[in-house]
Amino acid sequence: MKKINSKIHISWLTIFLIFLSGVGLILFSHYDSGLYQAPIGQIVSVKNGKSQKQVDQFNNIDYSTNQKLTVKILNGKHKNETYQLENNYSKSNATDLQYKKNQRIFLHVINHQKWNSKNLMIQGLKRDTSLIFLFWLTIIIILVVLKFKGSMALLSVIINATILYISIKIDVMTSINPFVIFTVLSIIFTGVTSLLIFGKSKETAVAFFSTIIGTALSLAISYLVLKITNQNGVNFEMMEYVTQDRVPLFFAASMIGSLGAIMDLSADITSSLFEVFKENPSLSKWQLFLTGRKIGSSIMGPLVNVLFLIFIAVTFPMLILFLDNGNAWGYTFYMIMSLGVVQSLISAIGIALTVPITSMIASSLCRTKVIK
Amino acid sequence: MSTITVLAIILLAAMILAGGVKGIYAYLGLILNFIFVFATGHLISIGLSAFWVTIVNSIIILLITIYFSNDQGQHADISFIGSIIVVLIVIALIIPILHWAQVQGFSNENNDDLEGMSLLIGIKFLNISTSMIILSCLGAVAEASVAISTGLTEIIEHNSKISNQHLIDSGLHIGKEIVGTAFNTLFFGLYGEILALLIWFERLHYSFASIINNKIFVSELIMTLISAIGVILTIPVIIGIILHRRKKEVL
Repeated sequence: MKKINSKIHISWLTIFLIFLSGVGLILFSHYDSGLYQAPIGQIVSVKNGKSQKQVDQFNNIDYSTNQKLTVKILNGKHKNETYQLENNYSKSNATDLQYKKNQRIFLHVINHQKWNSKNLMIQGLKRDTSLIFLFWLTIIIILVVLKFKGSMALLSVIINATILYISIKIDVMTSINPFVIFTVLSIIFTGVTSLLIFGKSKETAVAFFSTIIGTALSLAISYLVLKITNQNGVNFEMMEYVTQDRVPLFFAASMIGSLGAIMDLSADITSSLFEVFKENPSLSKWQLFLTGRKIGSSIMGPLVNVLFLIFIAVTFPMLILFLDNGNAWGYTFYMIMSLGVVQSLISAIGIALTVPITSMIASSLCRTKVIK
Repeated sequence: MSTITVLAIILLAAMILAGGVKGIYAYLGLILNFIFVFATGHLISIGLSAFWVTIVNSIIILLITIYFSNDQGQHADISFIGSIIVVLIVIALIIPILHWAQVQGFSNENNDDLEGMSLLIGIKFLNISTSMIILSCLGAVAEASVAISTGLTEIIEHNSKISNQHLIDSGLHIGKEIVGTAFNTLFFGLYGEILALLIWFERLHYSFASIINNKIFVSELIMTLISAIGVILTIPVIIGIILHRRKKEVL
């Protein structure tokens, strides 16, 4: 993020205190079972049965094992009681888990009247401690490497997460088209983030408008292409976790997903171009445009790859499962990867278009005087 | 013509508009990366070691990402070595975290998609998750290391007598900007990625407690946080490599 100069430098003592409070928080989350409504148990002992070879209809060889777990309840009325539970796991662990001693697990009570081993079901692992640990580690590494300088980045993440949460509430509570809600959200995102980067200035306006135009243009083009080609080769049916209309939700997700990258790109071009103009005010508009394009085009490639690798990598588990279920490559691509590829292409088009758009707006606006 | 073909052609046109020949190179780099990511998936599915396939392909993907979108030269070499070091550190972090959090495979939310499929494929999903998280951080690490090494080598070119302390300060200054940039890219990428899932949670009234213990949610957050850590670690690693090269008077 350009141009943020936080003058506060924190001392090593403060970092040490934050370090300690994090350790405290992690320990707390490990022992926080009392805060949970659902019963939580700790695995006291594990007895694994014999592994059994399993061959499925595609000749995949796997092993399934039954384990007997002794679980001690950690919260609620039945605290400290122990129960014998059974669990079945496969070597591949697609949907099951191999439990180990000392792990903490969530339990589901089928019938609250009768608390016995037959009425308790293992629901899943308690993962909050590992998540908090990783958050803490990230913050500590930022603080140690950059001292306080990274704080604006964290602030922007937190503010934007809050706005996102509010708009999801609105989406669930109303029947407004999700694309409309998340378009408004994206405009707010862009405004807030540009202001955080540049403060109240001409640069903010340039970054704001070029991000919006770039994103809107790529969405409009992609929408038209989807219409004209009749979504040929793209499978919306396999979109995951869908609770509403697929296409608007897909576009909303693509818009938000690429917004950060597009904002960063236009902010980078804008601040560099204004810098160049300040040092060299005799440059013509065309020369400034070319400078902006040169800066933008060298950032464009890596940025496109960042998003592409994220959007494609998440399809990996399903991709491999699908391939090993005897499906051909072409069909697997269509079923599992086509949506991720389209999402990557939409963001890539947005990123590429933002380069000339930002260069054009910035090169014509950097001459004008600020009207206050 | 299929939708993907048309979009790919439009992307090529847009990239040429944005960067001329450089745009064509960036486009080729993207397509090559595409092929190697696919290859990784295919090789894992036929039963090769997910870990080694991912390591080898990650090095190739880093090579493509760094050398195809930049002018070659010393800063590209520094970025490449730096990225590999960072990715190795990140892998050393990913493995214990994933063993701890156990987020591999699928969750109840995926049940509809899994219907009729054989889940006993004999490949450990823990390894597939490891591979997924390594691949997803490559782009961010490569971008950050290119930005920092380009900035620092430029400073040395302008002023070859600059002191090491000044160089470290400039490196941290550039690093601060990179972290801000990368965080926006990564976290908005995450928000886009989990938008549908978050709406699902809200609509089906998941409690806060069940969300922060949910397999998919935790897995997505681990992915983003690991990439973020990778980006931050790039700063000291690249500065370190440059100082080391200066000491040996290569720079």
